[in-house]
Amino acid sequence: MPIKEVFAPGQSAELFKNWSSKQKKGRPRKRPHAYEESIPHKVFHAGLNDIISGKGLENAQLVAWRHLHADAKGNHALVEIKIGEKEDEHVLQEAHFGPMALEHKLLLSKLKELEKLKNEDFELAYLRIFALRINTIWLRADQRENDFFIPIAPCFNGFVAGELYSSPDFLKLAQGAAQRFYQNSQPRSLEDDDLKGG
Amino acid sequence: MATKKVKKNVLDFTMQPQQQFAWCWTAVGTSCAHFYDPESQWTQCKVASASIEPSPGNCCDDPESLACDTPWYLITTNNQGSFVTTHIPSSFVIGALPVHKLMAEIDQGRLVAFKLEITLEHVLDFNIDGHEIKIPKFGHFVVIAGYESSMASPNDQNVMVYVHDPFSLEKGYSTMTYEVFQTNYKCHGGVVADANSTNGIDSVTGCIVTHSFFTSPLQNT
Repeated sequence: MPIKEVFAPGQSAELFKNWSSKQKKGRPRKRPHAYEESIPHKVFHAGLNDIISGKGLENAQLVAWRHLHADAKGNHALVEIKIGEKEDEHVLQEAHFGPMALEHKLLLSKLKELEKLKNEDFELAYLRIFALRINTIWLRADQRENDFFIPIAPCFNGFVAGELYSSPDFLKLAQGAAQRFYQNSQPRSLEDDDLKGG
Repeated sequence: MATKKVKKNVLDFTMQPQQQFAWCWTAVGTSCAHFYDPESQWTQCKVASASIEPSPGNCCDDPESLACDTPWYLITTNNQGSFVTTHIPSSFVIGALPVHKLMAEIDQGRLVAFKLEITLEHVLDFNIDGHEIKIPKFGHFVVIAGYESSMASPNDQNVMVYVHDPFSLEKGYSTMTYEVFQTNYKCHGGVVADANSTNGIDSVTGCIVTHSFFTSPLQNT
């Protein structure tokens, strides 16, 4: 089950290269990152209505590319470069530092060992549904119904971090998360609701 | 040749990942309590039990119950919230702090928490058991625990902030410009495709900071 090598648009890769250069002293990096160095992958956001209605992720929106950064000291980061208003516009959005960045890198080697994934090629991507507290690796097959998902901690509403979910199982749990989102959105009183958060 | 002077201050803060769906507020309160008092015995479920009104019972026994797993506050004008429970002196202002004030707080060793509000241009239509519900927005709390500025005149575009989010990135943090943090946190400028919308998109037009929360070392511990 190979992971398809997908390369970010040139401007996105260039912004990442420039960001990487700034993380260390010395001369700016000239050489572009090889795939296995930065493992570029797409970031999608999904609409709640599609989850609720059962339409799934056909309309999930490509919002950014992420690139993996590692320095000589073993520090890792995931650098997110968003896609702007125009398709060829790319802007540095944020960089994520922490254990998750290295875990992303290690995940790829683990994926190859999973029996369920051996029959098809997948594109590695990332899905974020902020309202439902879902961050997940999204293994995109040629057909959406053949996708797989690996949620990232913290997980709620029946999701278990690091577990492999088929598309139907993932969407079913996501609908449950939408139900909990609705329940939590009901105001208890009119006072100070502007100060509430979850 | 003039060299850039980098001003950087990053506090040694660890954000606990929120342990329930709606517990960002107790994760922030608990994490801040541990920052100001490394010996703190507060846990997220204890803070939830002690903060929510009316009392939800023991949230350590049943954290997933709706009574316990609910959005709540850091602090309110009625003195409710996880900062009150954990004795963190706190006050808040509407909107995002000016960047120089944020930097001054960090320089004093003080964490600053923020409430983010995500507003959907087209309200969410839920159909739960035949009932149609509309939800216009939701809130989330995060903490800024550091900054980095390489310019003589810091502003929202050239100051990088270190954001700790109880939901994203277990035990990690994100860096971004203060401008991006204030107006575009996790929203990426905003379109989420929705085929049901008249124009085919459901624009997330509002991902903004609505309140800034000052914190100080604990009292009456």
